[in-house]
Order: sequence, then C-alpha cells, then structure tokens
Amino acid sequence: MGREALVATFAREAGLLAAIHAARQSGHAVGEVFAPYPVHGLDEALDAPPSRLPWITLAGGMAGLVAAAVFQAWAAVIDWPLNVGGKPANSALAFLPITFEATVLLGGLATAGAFFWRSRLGPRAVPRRLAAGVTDDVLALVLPLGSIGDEEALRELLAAAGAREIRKEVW
Amino acid sequence: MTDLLELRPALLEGSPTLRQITEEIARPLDARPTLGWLACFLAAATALGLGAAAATYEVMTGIGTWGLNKTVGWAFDITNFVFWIGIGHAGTLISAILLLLRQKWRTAISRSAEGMTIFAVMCAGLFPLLHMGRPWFAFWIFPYPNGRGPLWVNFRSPLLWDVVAISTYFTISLVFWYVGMIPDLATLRDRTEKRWKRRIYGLLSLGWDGSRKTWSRYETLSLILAGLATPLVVSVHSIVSMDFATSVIPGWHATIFPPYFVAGAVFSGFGMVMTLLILTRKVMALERYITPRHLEAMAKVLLLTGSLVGFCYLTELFIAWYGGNPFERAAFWNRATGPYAWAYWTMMTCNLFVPQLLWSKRVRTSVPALFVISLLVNVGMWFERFVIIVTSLHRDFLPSSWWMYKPTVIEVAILIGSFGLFFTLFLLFVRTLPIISMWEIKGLAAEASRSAAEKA
Repeated sequence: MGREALVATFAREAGLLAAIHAARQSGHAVGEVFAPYPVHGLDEALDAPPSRLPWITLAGGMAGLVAAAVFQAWAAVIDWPLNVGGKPANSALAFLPITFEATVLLGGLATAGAFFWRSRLGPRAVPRRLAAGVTDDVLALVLPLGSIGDEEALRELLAAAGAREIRKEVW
Repeated sequence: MTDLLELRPALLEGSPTLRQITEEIARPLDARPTLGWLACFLAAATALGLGAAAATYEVMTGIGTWGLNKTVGWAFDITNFVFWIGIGHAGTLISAILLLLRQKWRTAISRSAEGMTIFAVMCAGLFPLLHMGRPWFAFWIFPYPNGRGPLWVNFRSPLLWDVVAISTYFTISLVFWYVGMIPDLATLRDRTEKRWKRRIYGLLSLGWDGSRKTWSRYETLSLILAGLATPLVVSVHSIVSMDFATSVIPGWHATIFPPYFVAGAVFSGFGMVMTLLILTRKVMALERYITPRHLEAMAKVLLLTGSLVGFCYLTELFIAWYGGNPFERAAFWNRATGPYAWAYWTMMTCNLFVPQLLWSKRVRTSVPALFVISLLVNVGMWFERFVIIVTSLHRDFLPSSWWMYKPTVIEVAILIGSFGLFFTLFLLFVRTLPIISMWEIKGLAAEASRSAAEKA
C-alpha cells in the first residue's frame, strides 16, 4: 500500500497480544498480524467482526437445493415421465437424497470459492513477506506509522512488550 | 477439571518449540527415501501393476472373466466397493465430527486419515466403473442433455443416489483436505532449498502469508466444511445401504441397514487408520506426535462401533426369527449354517468378538495387540460385505436357480490391485506432503504453553 510501518516480531503470542493491547490503548491502529497458526483471542483483541462466509454457504446451499429439486422434478415429471415400476412420476421423496447432496456440494464449493476470492489466494498470488519465518515460528505485528513523531514511542512500546526485532518497512 | 486433565497422558510428548515441530514433521520430506519405504513402495507398485493388468484384460474381454452368474450378479466387485467406501469414512469422521466435538486428539491423525479417505474412495470408485463392462460409457450415469431424447437418468434409483453421494463426498473431502494443507504448504515453500520444489509448493500454497484476516476466514471455512461434511458422511453410507435395502431380497430388505452400514463404515475406517498409523509412526519416526494416547482413543472408537455393529448383527438375527417371515428366517439360517457359514463366522469372530478385547486397558495400550486387532477388523468388515451380498443372492427365489459363487483369479488380482493403488498413493503422500498438520500442532503447543503460564 506504499505506507511506512513498523514490523515487530515476537516469539510468543503473549508478547504479541500485550503489544496489540498497548498499541490500541495509546490509540494506534493495528495494520496486520502474521502468524504460523491461528492465534487464540486475536480477533477479540482487535475487535474484528466475524467472517461473513456463512452467508455464502447459505446462498450456495439454497441454490443447490433449488436447482436439484427443480431439475429432478422437471426431468421426471414434465420433460419425460417414465413409468418405473408403476411409481408416480412425481415421487418427490425419492428426489430428496440427490437434493441433499447438491445442497452440501454447492454450499461447500461456494464457501471455499468465496474464501479464495476474498483472501486473494490463487496459484499466481504473491505472498506478502514483511518478516521472515511467519510460516515457521515467528509472530509478526505490523503497525502503520501515522505521523513521524510517534515512531520512537511506538518502538519503545513494542520493545517493552518483548519484541525480538523491530524494523521499518513499506507495506 | 484441570487436575483431571493433567492425569491424562499427553497429546504431545515433551514440549517441542514451534521450530522443532516444523523441522520434525517436514524433515522426512527432504531426506532420501529409506530402504523400508522403497521396499513398501515396490511391493505396492507391483500389486498395482498386477491389478492394472487384470483390469485391462477384464475390460478387453468382458465381465465373463469374473465368477458372476445368473443367480449371483453382484459379488466380489460390489463387496470391494462397499469395503473401500467404508474405509473412506474414518477420515472425514475424524476431521469433521471430531473437530465439531472439539476432540483435540484428532489433530495429529486427521491429515493422514483424510488422505486415506480420498485414496479409499478412489479405490471404491474403480469397482462399479469396471463392473459397467464398458467403462468408456461411464458418463451415461450423469444427467446430461443427450441425443437420446434427452433421456434422463432414473432419479428414483438408489444406484444413482449413490453416484451423486460418492461424487459429492469425494469432492468435499478433497476440498477439505487441500484447504487444510494450504498453511503447511506455505511453510514448506518458505523452508525448502530446492528451487523446483519451492515452485511447486509456491503454486499449491496459493500465496498464503498467514495474515490475521486470512486465518480468521480460514477458521470459519474449516468449521463450515466440517459442519457440511458431518451429515455428508452419514448420508453416503446410508445411501450405499439403500442400494440393498430398497430391493426385495431376503437379507437385504431391512430398515436397520442405514445405521448398521454407517456404524460398520466407521468401524472399518478406524481399523484401517489404526493399521496405517501404527506403521507410519514407526517408519516415519513420528512417535512424539502420534502417541499411545491417540491409539487408545481410536481403540475406544473401535470398541464402540464394533459393539454397535455386533448389536446390529444380533438385532438382524432376532428380527429374522421374531418377524416370522419364512424367507427372511431361511436367509439368516442359511448364512449361519449354509455353504458360506465359514465366511459368516469369520465376520462374527472378527467384528463381534475380537473388538471386545478392547475393554481391557492392557490391550488398548499394547501397540502389537492393536495392530493385530486392526488387521482382523479389516478382514472381518470385508467378509461382512461378502456375506451380505453373496449369501443373500446365491439362494434365489427359484430353487432351480440356486448356485454358488467363486471368485476368479482376475477378480482376486483386481482386489490386490486396489490395495496396490491405495498403498502406492499413501506412500507417495507420506513422502511429498506433511502427514501431520503442522499449524494445528503449533496451535496445540501454544495452548499448552499458555495454560502452563496461567498456572505459574
């Protein structure tokens, strides 16, 4: 994004959470956090809103449900009613298993697709590398610098929380 | 509560650092294959080659190369199909249902169990495909606009439900497995030194950088996929059982079939996971991550599902007698005392009696005993399907059509080939992808150190 930010790395999540707490207390915005595993309590510490992915699941699932139910009924009742063992053309109960499977399939694929799209993940996506080792054992906190004046204060705050390394980066 | 938890043996042995976790799980991927691995791979690839040759011969010659006859029209292939589909149930159960139930012990074994699911479903799909005789027309089972009307597939048929259920199961399991691996693929991308490997892991990890927002969405996605996969697991084997239950063959026509098949599938799947993991933890030196506590927890699931299956066997027998239907009675009497009684009693021994040994803590904590029991469970569950399918068919409604079924060399070779395919894929998997979810183990380790810090 072409702005300057301080990137601090931590070895333990306690230090990271303390730094986030202190930064937010003193009115700084948190740019991003990178971690090798989902840090418990991070979303709460940042007051991040919950993901809206479940709505995509609902929409995809409903689409699958309606598509499968309508298509089976249309094919078996309207387009070509076949007499199979004297059963009624509209044996709606027999259409349930496929309707269920289509609901799950489209719900799942839509959610996974939306996740990739929103998170900008793809075979050609380039990972942001602000700190080495964030996929191994390093937790990194990115604090964007608002004005020049507060850089020293931020560095002190991060060091007090136990940051291992503090660097200035453009992100 | 915490004190009680303290008494349990650990899910992780020692307290590895995050770096150690990465190193220990990823190291086998960089090392040269061991002699043990090469020997296993050679054996598996040979079996696969044998099966491929037999399948090629069968496709070129026709289904006449099998032992099927007018009376027994389904036998070895459908037995193998149901057997493999059953094996494929443990993976999603471990990764989805146990995730929702917050069973932390699943962490270390979920990745390999999911992989096993995918390979087992591939093996299963092979058999109906070959049974078609003309597998190049396999696409006819899908409803697509065709030049014959269009003539649609019969949506009332359980066989079609089966096709849809298994394709859905395979797709969702594959997505679940792959999505679960993305953070670990990024870890491998960032640590590997070989350029070609880094390129491949880079492509597969989709630019993952571990940002908070992505992790947050990622956990939501995992939970949703788990929630979707849970009813899916139950639906797949229920639908497989309807292939039999909706017919009017004595021995098949039973309402107990769906829960009975699901319990059997979980039982056989856990049996196979147990077999594979006991071997893998030894060969890949992962005893720290796949601990005796994991094996014991799986043994408890085996005991539970084995008892459920045994309860179903006894219920079936009771209802066959109590229901008063002479054909049903004859079918079950024939199972226990007829020409295939040896298969029936093999099944009863392996599935009903042997798992009862797991009530003993000494058996549950002995790795050699668990290994033998898991093999017997696999054998028993294969015979369960054989008993259900063949003994129900070989006594036709017309006594003049009564006939016996015996598999041919070709059928046995194709079964061996399916084991070859399964083990070849599994062995390639343990060499190329992290078989234990590194990011989940790291979360577990962080949690352990957090609770230790809280106590201090």
